[in-house]
Amino acid sequence: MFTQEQLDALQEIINIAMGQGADRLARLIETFVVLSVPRLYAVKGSDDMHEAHQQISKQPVITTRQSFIGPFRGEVLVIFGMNGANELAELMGYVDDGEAQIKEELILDLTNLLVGACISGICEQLHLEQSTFSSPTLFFEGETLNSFIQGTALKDSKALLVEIQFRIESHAFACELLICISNTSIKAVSDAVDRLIDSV
Amino acid sequence: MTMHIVIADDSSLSRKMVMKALPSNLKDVEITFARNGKEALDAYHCGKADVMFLDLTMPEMDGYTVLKSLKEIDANTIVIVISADIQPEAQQRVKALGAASFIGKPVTTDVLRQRIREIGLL
Amino acid sequence: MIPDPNYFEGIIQRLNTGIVIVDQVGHIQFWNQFMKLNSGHDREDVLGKSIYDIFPEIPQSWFQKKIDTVYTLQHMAFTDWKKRPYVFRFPTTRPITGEVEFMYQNCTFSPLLDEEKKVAGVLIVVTDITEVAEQTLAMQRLTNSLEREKREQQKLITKLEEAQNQLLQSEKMAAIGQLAAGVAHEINNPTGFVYSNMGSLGHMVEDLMAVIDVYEDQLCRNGVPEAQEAVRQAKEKYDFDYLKEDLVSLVKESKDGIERIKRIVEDLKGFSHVGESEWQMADIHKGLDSTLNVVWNEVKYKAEVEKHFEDLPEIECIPSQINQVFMNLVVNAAHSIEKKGKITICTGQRGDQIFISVADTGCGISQEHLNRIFEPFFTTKPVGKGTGLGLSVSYNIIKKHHGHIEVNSTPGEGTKFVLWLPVKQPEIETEQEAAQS
Repeated sequence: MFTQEQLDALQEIINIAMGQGADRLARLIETFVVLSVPRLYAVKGSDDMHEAHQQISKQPVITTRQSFIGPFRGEVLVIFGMNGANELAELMGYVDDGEAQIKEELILDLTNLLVGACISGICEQLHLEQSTFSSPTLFFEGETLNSFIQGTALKDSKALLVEIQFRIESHAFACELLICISNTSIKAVSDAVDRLIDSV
Repeated sequence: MTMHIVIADDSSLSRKMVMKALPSNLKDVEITFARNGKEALDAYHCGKADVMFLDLTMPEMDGYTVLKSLKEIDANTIVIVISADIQPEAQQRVKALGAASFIGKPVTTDVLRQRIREIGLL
Repeated sequence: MIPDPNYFEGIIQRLNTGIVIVDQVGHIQFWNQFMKLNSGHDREDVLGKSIYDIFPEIPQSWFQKKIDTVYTLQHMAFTDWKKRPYVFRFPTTRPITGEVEFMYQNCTFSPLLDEEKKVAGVLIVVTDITEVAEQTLAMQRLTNSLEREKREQQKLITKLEEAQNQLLQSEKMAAIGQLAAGVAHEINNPTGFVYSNMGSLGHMVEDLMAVIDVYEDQLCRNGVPEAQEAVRQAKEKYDFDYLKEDLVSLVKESKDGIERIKRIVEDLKGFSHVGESEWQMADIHKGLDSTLNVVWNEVKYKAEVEKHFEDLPEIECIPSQINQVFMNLVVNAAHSIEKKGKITICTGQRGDQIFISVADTGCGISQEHLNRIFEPFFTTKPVGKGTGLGLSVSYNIIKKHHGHIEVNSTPGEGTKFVLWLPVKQPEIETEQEAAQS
């Protein structure tokens, strides 16, 4: 679906987008955020998903989703470890008064933030019209990605798997973004990447 | 006299974006691409680095290490750091290490030329 | 025709959705009719005021973070009724037929950008979601109660399975008992007359020998030499002296054999106790002895059995069941001994309880297994060799007798089971249980 050259370009584009995301997160929580270089994998379809990334697919996870609508259209699944989010709650302005609820809301906030930074960054750099977003929701919890995906019919799409890892103060926090691009907008993205590559 | 410019970045897109953003009226310059920190240092040792555009996160050797090494060898080398990490802390850190300037990615022609003017390169 | 701005203002005012615009510190910039009607605050009263003053129920640090998020990220923010039923505490939109007291809401926070693309305000859109929320909550409750029922049913099914297994096991034991009793009965009759015939045979042989003695004496004194010689030759040919001796001991051994058959048959009858599944006063030692006889075959090559029986009163029990438990323990003890060992059986009385202990010098049970040996189907024997039911059935039998089982084991040294049983059963329960069975 994407050529290696396009993927290399997308890797850098997402790297830059997440850099902006980390900067905004840092400003929001007034703490320095250390972001690892996001790693990008192309995923053809749901069959390919667990093969593409064994590590996350074997552990139980919390997965959220948020859709983006516009010329660049699709859904992002954000995959969190089961116990990664607790420490961030305080930094994000949550008073500790009810654990499960708080954790879930925090994870949704984080989803919103990461997805917003990532998708907006891609649109901006590719000179695509900005997408608008739906509210993030919890997709599934406590299952492995593998077992969940096998039991769910995902609409035909092309996906990019982005592994990101950031550290806030002493808390390391890792998650994966699975950017699923709907077939209707794949050409628009592909063309936009080509235009960017050709322009330099 | 020929001016040697090194553009060190592991992303080819970013290397090209920097090159494209360079002023078009530059004469007598030689541009070398480096894909990682080691290649950047090698280019310097071959005497091909008066000015270096340096990415921070690269394989083999990161930009911080390259910057430190360069500044130890020759404090006069002009290093302009270009990074996706645009938090103020990163900027302060590279400035403290002796970087002449900092440009947040994505690199645009306007910003790059402005920075070059600011440090009096042209 | 270009409608004048008031036209759009009118539309926004009449939207059946809350529209609020706040600045970076939460001061209200805009307020539509929906907000007025639900909060009771007129637009003029709230404009320029802090939203936290108008709605003290809003958690300020959380709400401000939402606004900050929109300002800093230039990106939308959301609230979800499932996580936070409401942001603004508005009365329910179903005051008569609804079940909840307040309005469930979803809110979106969007950045409003000025000409320089800087965030100039946050547009908060409040959607009434009470209808969906009520349905979802009702469904949730239904799901929860179904889940609960399912769990309870699962528990019941497990219990039923256990009960069925025990039933199966006791049915099996009853069938074996019946079979044994039937066989015992069939063997009993022929054994009876063989035994009595053997008795007669013994006497007859003695008489026969006496007659032969007279013959010999007379022959010796008065017989012609030819006759004496013929008898001598015949006696030599048939080894008469040996025959005479052997015939007596043969009859005696056969009698012993028959006696043993008789005893085993008796024990089998005693062990199976057909028709004796009722509570009665019974002599435990008799039961132990007959059970030992029944399982002797399994034990004799493995272990010598040492018995230390103290005086015991008769106890109230179902003897066939106690025998079954005892058999289990002895057979297990024998199985645990690999080559040659010892099984020590002791009994005694302490207060109003009696004990029966079975100790072996076998391989012992590891600590992790020790916790599970009374579980149904738990076995360390190879597949097909043990059902894993013996000890679980034993446990339940002893429990039914209001007693308990103690077990001590050291891997490599041996295991000791101690059964404790009350001499008298607590009265009422015994009757109930008897009625149940």
